[in-house]
Amino acid sequence: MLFACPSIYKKPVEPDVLDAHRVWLKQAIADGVIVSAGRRDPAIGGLIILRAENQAAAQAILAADPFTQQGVADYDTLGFNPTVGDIKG
Amino acid sequence: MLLKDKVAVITGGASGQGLASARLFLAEGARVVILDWNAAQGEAAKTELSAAGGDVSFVACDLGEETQVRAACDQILAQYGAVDVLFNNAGIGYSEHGRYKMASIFDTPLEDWNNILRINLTGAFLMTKYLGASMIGKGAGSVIFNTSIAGVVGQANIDAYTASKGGLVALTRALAASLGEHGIRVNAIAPGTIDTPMIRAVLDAGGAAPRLAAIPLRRIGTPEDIAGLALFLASDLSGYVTGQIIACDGGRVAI
Repeated sequence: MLFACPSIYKKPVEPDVLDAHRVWLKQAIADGVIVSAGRRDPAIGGLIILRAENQAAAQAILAADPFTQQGVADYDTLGFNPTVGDIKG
Repeated sequence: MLLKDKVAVITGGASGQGLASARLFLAEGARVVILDWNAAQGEAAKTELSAAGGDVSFVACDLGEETQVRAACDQILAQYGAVDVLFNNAGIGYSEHGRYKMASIFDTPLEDWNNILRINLTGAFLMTKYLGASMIGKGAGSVIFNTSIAGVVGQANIDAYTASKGGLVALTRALAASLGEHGIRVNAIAPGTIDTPMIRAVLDAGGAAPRLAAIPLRRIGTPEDIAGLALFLASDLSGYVTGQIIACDGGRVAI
């Protein structure tokens, strides 16, 4: 299933943490885990759409994000099963 | 210095209470951005403040237009990265001589009602939405609304103005509740009668005497009176103050 995972920043994003976050994102996209990601508008945090078996798995994926590890952001994990549209589960 | 290196945005900063606040914030070490719909006044204010050695920018903006507010906020964030203080000061109102005449609700055109709420309430909402977002990442910030004693007590024949200011009072408390967990404080100043260009004509036309009689301190307030309170709310001196509506009115609503 898919998970929409919004976050809200908890502290300023340091450049090295942002770089590490981007590397992590790129790899997760290459692995087919993350479908889409970007900053929220206005930029109070971000949103990641990812594939996972269940909520625990989604949380485990996000736990590896440098943003999570460095305490920059916590994610919600809102699961859904896509039935229409371009994004498939 | 109470605001050393803080980035402070002041709407309606080209004149009156906003300009006085800009002067004081700059004197306390802030980097100040003033917004105003009046480009000529805004540029003049910037010139004056810069000549005094201040780090000040001016952005022309109609606060009631979301596209303009968004563009202004994007410009500010591109230049400064984030904002520490947002003083939502801009407002328009009624007077016997101004654009919007004092009138009963039965004689208030919908256009006037909409314009006053658009600037006074919606403009403050939009600014806070787009600049407040940058405070989330910092985990700190001070948002100040300039409401009015008209938002706290009823006053006849200024219904739209009163409604807009009452809306700011409610918004202050609501945002204090929702943004507190991010370290963002939200407070409001409720000025009484303040000698600004907006009401100077009223005071000159004999409006000062009846107002003075109702003010314990027996004087009309000055823009600097408001600026002083704004500085307190902007600075860490008020670090444990949020959700408050603080009158700056010479004691008028206290009696």
